[in-house]
Amino acid sequence: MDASKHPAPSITAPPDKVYSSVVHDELREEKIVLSVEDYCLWYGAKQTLYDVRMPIPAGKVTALIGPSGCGKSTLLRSINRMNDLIDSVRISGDMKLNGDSIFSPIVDVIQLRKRMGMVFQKPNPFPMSIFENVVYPLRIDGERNRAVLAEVCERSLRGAALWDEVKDRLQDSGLSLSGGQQQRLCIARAISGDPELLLLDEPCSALDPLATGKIEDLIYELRGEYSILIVTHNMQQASRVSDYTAFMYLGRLIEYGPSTRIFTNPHEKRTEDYVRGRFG
Amino acid sequence: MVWLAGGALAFCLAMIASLLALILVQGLQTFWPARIVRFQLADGRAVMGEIAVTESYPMQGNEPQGNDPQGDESNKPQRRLVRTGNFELTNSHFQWITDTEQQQAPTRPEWAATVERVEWGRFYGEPDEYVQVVPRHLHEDETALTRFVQFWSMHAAQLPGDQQSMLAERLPQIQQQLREMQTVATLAQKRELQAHTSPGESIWIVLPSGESIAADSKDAETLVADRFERRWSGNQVAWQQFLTRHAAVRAARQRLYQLEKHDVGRINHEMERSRLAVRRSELDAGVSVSQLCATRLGIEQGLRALDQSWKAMQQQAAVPTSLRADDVWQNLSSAVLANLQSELDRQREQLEQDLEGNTAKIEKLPASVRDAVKEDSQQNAQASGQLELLQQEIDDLRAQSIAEMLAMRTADGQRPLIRVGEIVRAYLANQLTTFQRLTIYLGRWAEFIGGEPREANSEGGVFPAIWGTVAMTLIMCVIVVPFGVLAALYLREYARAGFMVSAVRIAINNLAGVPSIVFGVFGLGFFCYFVGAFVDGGPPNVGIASLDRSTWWTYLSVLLVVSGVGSGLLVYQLTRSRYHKSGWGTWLQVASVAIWCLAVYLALVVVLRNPHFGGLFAAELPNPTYGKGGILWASLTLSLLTLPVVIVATEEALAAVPNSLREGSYASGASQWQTIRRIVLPHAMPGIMTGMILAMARGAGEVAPLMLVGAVKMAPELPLDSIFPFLHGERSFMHLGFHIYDLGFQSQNSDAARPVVFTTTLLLIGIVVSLNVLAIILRARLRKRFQGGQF
Repeated sequence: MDASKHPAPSITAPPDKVYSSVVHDELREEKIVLSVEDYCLWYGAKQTLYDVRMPIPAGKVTALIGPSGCGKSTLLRSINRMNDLIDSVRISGDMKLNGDSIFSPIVDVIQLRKRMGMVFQKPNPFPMSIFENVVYPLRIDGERNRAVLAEVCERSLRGAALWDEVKDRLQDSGLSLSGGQQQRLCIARAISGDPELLLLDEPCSALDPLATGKIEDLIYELRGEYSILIVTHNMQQASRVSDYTAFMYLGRLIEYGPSTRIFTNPHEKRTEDYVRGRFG
Repeated sequence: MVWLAGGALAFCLAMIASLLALILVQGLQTFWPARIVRFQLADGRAVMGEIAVTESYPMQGNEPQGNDPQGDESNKPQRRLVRTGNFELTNSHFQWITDTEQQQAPTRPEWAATVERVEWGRFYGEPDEYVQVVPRHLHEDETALTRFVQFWSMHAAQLPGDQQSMLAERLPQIQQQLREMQTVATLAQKRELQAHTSPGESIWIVLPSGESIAADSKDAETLVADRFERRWSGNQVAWQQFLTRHAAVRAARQRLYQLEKHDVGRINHEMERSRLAVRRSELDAGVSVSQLCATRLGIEQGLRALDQSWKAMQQQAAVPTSLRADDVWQNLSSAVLANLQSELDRQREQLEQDLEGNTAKIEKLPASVRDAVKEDSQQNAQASGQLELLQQEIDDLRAQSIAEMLAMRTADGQRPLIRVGEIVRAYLANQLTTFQRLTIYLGRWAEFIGGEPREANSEGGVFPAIWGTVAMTLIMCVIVVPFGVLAALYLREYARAGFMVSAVRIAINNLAGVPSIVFGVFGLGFFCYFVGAFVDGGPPNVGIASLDRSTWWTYLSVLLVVSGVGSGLLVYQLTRSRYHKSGWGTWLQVASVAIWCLAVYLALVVVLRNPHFGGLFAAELPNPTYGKGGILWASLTLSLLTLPVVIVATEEALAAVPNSLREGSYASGASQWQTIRRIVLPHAMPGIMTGMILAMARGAGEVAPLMLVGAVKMAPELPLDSIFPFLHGERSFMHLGFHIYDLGFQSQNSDAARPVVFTTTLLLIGIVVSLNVLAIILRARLRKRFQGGQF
């Protein structure tokens, strides 16, 4: 899509013109599942993302960190076009999921979302049974075969490390679970459609430390099987679970590289300040 | 401040509680069988009845000082409203009696009875005598002889002179013979009756003149009775006999009522239907056959009458066995019969000729009309046969139900006879045990809830009104809930927030504040007089000129093209990507709005000026079928009235669905409709149910608009019954709210109706509460599903 059709309003010109993201070389050797290409986003007249250019490696866990309001959630929600629901949003640039454009006019957004899974900040199980929660993506595709549904349900719940806890009460309401279990249920729902990319939007921010630990273990286990992009405020979490970390600041991608490098020996001063806790 | 607020709440609660308490107390005590009190008045009159109201009133100086049972310490004597009943004797149901009028303290006569009747309201009196009329048995010979005498008194003039004198000579002999026969028969039957008397019973002979004589008296041996009467005299004996016979007689009377109302009604309905079929075929073929049909009907009836009178004459002229010995009678009879037969044959010939002419004319009609006319004529013949059969049964039942009577002595000494078949319920008010009172009380409630009204609605039951109210409320719900929910879904889920949505929301809220009578006027003008009249008789019936056929087809094809273009535009707009709108967007929107406006206009023209639509009920015109008030229009009017309630409640429920659920669903790849259907609607269901409950409560209690669009004082048929098509949307109906208004304020006898008003109010409140409770239970069950736990 041609960016010139959506000119950025002049009042929000980038503060410093001499800026470019630092993307470490290790990423060049990775197989890429999603590539963000010069992506800009405006809420009404206010620009929130500036020319983000970022490859997401396949089969790895990539963490997005940065202070509040830096645009990491916005970027994440752009990937499965959840921002469509907000009227005032305009964009330029594009993203490619395994080579298929996400923002091209001919894309069917429903089909696009079926290729990804998403988990939100607060656990949002539907008011149905645990079983129905997990197989919801199949249900809306019209799948009726009980055997298929049961098989997918078990596989997803095992994948989300929840099977042993709920296998005897699949017909109970999803709302009867504890917070951490609910979040794992949401992860099970997100992976039941075999997504090409799993988007986690601060999945632990509403959970207690114990539940957080379990989710982190789960994310660690899912590595390799799924490509995961996780937004987090918690830098320890990012360093624990992720292979790569991207630091964003004021709508820009500042530095992006292997987590070990970002947290121990970052290239940029701002990254270093942030991961050392000097601001943010 | 807390005291002010709390006080205001307490005041409101106290007012509501006292209103409910008043209705409860008044409504519940109405049916309790009260004791009967007898007042002896100073002016010599005596009054008996139930005390309805007791109140004090200020003494005035010029009041006559009478015997005051209250003593002198109170300066305020009391007066009582006494329900005296006996309307046919006194022309009033109630009477005020002041303490000063009374000669002595009121008494409670042991044998005073309360009698509830089908007509004339209640009767208060003491049972005095039970009378059962027994017709005199007629022997075959006697009947034949009587007929023969009648025959000759009518047709003697037809004989030649010499034979006339012969007849005149012999007639007195026959009459003498008849009289002897009758005396013997009377005596025999009297003996038989006397042999089977029960204790307290006496037999009376009623003469043709109406005079009655005790069967025991000496001159009763030579009398000819018209009928007999079995009488049980004395309070106790009469009452006992009444108790043993009442149920059977009442059952006969009710069977009679059923026959007259339902069976005869059904036959009339069939006849009306075949007449309408003729009318419909007439309209289709553009000819008029009503004159022909009427003539044919007259001829057929004439022929049937001829047959009947010929049979009757033959029967009359048959010589009775007792006279067979005398050959003269045979000759006389056959001579006169031959005369009569030739006369009848001439008439028959004439009628048959007419019939032939009539048939010829009918044969010339178009086939469809001819078939309908033939069908109608068959139907009529069949119906008159059925009616004859029914008439036999009806006559028998009527004779049974009027044969037994109870003589009641009133307080002022009159002694009218009351037909037992017309007594709904009777009891000795001052001899009842508490259990019996309770039985009567519950029986009255059962009649009230399950029975039909009588006595200008002031007595009997309100079942049709309950049925009408519930049916109307349910139909209203079925209409208003889907519409309201869809409208709210659009406003909350699909429409983009902006000026238009706010304007629509404000308009809806204002709609809730429009006085309900305005909705009634709208319903009458739009639904009854426009939509209803259009359904009845097509465009001409509502004053719209139909297009000619070719123009209409042109309009239709233009409409199809325009709506096709509109749909195309719509689909194009919907499928365009959200991020790639071009500058054409606004123009496209304007264009599609214009095109849709045009399409709506064309659709209106095509529907309203359709030359092919002549109305569904054109045959009944000028009598309207749907073009008047009916339960369908009433339900639609109330749906409009309650629409804002449903929309507002549903919108609130939709707004309360957490956005995170919607996002979760979208992220799982669900479309907007799938999200709404699987996530949003189930979650909002309890709130939607709340809206439905509020709408039902509002709709069931509404009266003003119903008066205009279909509620009536007395509806002969239920709007929802077991006859196809079960729901009769065109029928007017009874409604409890309207019933209350009618009883309390439109009744000629509102004093008598007042207790029933309270009871009806209680019932209406009860129905509204139980409909609400039902919906609340449903809602609670739904809500449980969304708060964890088992499914």
